[in-house]
Amino acid sequence: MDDDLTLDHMIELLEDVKGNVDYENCTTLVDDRVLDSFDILSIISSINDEFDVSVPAKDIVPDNFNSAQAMLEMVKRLVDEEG
Amino acid sequence: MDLLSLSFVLFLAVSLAAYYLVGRICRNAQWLVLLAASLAFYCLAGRWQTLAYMLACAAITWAAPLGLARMDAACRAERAAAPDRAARRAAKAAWARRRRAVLVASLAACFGMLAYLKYWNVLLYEVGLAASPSSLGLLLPLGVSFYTFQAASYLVDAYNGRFEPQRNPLKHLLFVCWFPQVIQGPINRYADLGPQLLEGHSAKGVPVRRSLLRFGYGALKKYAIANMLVGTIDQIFSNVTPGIPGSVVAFGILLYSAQQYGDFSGGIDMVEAASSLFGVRMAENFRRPYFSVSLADFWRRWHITLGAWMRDYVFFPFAVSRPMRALGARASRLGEHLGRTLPACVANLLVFLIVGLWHGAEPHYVAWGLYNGLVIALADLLAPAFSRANAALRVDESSRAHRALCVARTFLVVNVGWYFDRIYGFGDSLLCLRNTFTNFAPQQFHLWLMQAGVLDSTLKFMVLSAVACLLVFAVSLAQERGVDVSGRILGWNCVVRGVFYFLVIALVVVTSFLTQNVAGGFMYANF
Amino acid sequence: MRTSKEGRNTKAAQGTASHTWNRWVVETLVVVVVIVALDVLFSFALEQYGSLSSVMWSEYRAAAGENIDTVVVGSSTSQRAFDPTALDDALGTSTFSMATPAQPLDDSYTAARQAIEDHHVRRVILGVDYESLSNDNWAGSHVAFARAKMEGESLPRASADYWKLLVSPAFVRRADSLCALFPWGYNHVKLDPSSVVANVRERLSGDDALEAAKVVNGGWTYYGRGYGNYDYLIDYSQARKETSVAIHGLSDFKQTCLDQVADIARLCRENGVQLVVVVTPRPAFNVLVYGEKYPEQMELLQDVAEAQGATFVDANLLHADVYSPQDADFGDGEHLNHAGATRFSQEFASLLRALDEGQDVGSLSYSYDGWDQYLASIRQISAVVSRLDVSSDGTATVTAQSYTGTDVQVEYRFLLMGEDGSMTVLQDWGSSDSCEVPEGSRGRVTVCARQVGSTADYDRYCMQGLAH
Repeated sequence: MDDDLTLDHMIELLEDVKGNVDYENCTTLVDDRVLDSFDILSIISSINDEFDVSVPAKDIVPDNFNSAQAMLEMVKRLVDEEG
Repeated sequence: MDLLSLSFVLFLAVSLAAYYLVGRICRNAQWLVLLAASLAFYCLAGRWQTLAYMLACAAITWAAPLGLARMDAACRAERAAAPDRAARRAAKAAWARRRRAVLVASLAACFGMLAYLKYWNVLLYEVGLAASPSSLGLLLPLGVSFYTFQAASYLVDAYNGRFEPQRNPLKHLLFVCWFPQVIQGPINRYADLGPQLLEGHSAKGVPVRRSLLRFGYGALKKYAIANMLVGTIDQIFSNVTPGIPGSVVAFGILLYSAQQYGDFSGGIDMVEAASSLFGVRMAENFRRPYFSVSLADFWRRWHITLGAWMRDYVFFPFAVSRPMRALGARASRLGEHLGRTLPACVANLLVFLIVGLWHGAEPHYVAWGLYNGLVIALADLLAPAFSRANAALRVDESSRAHRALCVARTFLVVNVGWYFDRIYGFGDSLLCLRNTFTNFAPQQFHLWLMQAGVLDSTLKFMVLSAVACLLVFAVSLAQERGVDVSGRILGWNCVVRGVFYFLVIALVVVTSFLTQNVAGGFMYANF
Repeated sequence: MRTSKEGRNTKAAQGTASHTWNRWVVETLVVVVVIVALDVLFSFALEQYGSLSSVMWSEYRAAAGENIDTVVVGSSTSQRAFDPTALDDALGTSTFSMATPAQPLDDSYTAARQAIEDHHVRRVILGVDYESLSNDNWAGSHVAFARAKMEGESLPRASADYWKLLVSPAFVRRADSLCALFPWGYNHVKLDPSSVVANVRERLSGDDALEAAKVVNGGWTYYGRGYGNYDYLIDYSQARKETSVAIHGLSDFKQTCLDQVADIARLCRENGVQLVVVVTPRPAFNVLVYGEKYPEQMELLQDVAEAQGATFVDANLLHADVYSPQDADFGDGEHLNHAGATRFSQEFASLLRALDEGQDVGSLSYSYDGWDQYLASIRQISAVVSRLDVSSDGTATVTAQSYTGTDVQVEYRFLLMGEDGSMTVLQDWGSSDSCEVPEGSRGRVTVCARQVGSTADYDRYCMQGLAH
């Protein structure tokens, strides 16, 4: 399971939801309105499928979704908490 | 009190002088001036009799988070003392339930007050138990919807542990009653606004000229556009008969889209400017909404703070709730896209149902909300189909022409929505919509307007509003292209600036005089 | 420790800061000066030269050395109801009219106070009508009045007067309180080039306000003592458009207006001045159009006036033997013409004499409590109006309504005037007040009304256009 929690995997997941975005470098995905709230829900749903962890509403804040790295860290934290 | 009035200017001048003077002596006490000014404004501009409702709302949203913090401490203590992991878990769950109960109870209290003041009478009237929608004589407190939503966001954020709750009740009260926001929003967040209100500022570094420019820009929208058009719109839509020509309806709706934007965004510009004179930047509420490329985009640019509030406190929590996740899982069997978007679509419908109700309890508002929700949901569900169609037709989605087409299409969709927002009666809305397509009758346009009591002179004077609209359009277009319009104007030669300011003022003076019989106050003041 | 280099830098920075600050101040000053200059220029070109307010104030100032013991205040209905010469000839008084068009009650107060201060007048006549009390949006006339008053005053006094206007209750909370700093927006000539040029030319011609007013107000004649009037004749067939309700809408009296009447009454009482509040005469139809609202609301005014010791007279309710206006006395639905004003002023003088002799003038008129008696006292048809109803199946019906007394029996005749000038009787004399218009009729329907028993072609008539 932990092998799956890599940045590459996360970016792959994101590209599946919404293409044509520079997920490797962009750190303002929400602030610059690259992702809208429907995209975020799609990402959350994918995270749920891929990493088997649900993102609670209180974690849906811009800081957690502004970059692929931030999302990865959030997922790691959630996995830890659930474990 | 009008924002464009000597009384407001004097009020601002006295408050600003006191604020910066106190700041020189004791920066820690500066916020007290803001609180005093805000309470004074509430009594001057609203009805002092309704102050108690706001105080109650502030008291609840101040006390509850402190209670939650204590419960957190108690929970930690109990868990530390627990003998084993199972006991720790049980303690956590028990305290989580209690925390949730406190949250629900305080939210219910706040929204209960709002519902009672705003909807109870209308509800009684709709079911035939009240003589009129205002027969109970309830006084609607100024800005009740705005401060309630703002206070509720504080409560939920505190519940989620976003920040340390404010211990000082007066400091919290200031956040709830900050006077520029209390008339018509924006709905601010504590994390952004709270620190600004409390930290204190010096007069240096306050963008005075930019603020005044923005105040004037708002006044132009409000007086030269909104107030000039509101009378004609009233005349048109208070005379809806089966024979109303579609041309008149379309004209009325177009005027409404200008009036609505001018009134609301103009008022917001004025209060944002007033706030920034104190060094306090409030959240932006409009980002040139008529340049949106989709209805969803429109709602991210129109009344932004309400949209954001709905997104954070209704849309996300509802969409990721367990039943919605289950719905998504079931739907994904029918298709991956459907599975991912269906919960969002349902949540979106709920959001717009609430947005509709927020504007009023009448059925046409609900229809308007649902219309918006449905269009956005359908657009999202059908997004893959649209992309496939675009690809098949070789549409270049990044081209300027495509963008312009999307803007025009969105403008049309938004305007269809205004039919339900503005025409007070669901049946009338449908009738007008039908006539727009089946009975446009441009040859009856003038005659019908005359019969509705619209004077020729009124139509003639609309040239002034058209000039103002052009000005706003030019400014918006430049802003869309990333131009700092205020900066450009302030860079002009000062004689040119003087002439320009005078011409804008002249437009406001003339239109304000022409519309002096229109009842004052902002359209959104009671929302 | 600070090195000398750092010191220089700080000084240079301070220099730049003060330089920026100076530049900021100068630029702001220039901007303000440009705005003020344009404001003055626009006022010169657009502000009406020769407004009736400026005539009143300039004539009032010109009469500074003369004896004035009575002043008339109020709006245009008052201005055009009281002829000072007629009053003075009958009473031997010395009257000056300070009434101006659409004069709001707080300006009436200002005028009265000024006259009391300057001339120790012993009587103030406040002429009002329904709209004086039901309508408080008179920003334009407020500005015109204040500007006209300022013209002859010293700068500090004039500034104080204008400031008082801006912070007055009618202005201070509204956009007017700032916009009135640009007074040309409030009392301007028609915004077309020829009117503006004419205004500038008049201003430069050397004419005084009075001469200019005669040019500006075609048909207006000045008779001296602040009083001027027109010789128009009302067209009763246009009654539907002439009623005040059609022009202003119908609303209840504003408490602020009633308070302002009380203020004027208090001012007079405290200065030992007699105040007579007069509801000015109008054609009966323009009283009847208010229905029961008229006695209900007017009684409020009467109570306020009398509570403060003022005398209240509703000229419309005076018994016929005291005063009864003739058809030709009115210029329109609200105003007397010059002949009407002279006649009214003569009759009103007798009432004032009676008042001076200590008689109870209340017995000279009908009361609001006895409204039915007033309604029964009307012996003629004041006006007939009509409306057109088109039912869903396309049938057009013209319905007539007469404004008359309760005891008057009315009969109607409906004629169709074709577009070619032909005339057909649709329905001959009869008591029915409505008539169906044959399908396909074009032109106008003339509705004639007369008292039953009369053989006249009509007492009153009106025209009803047909929708095509």
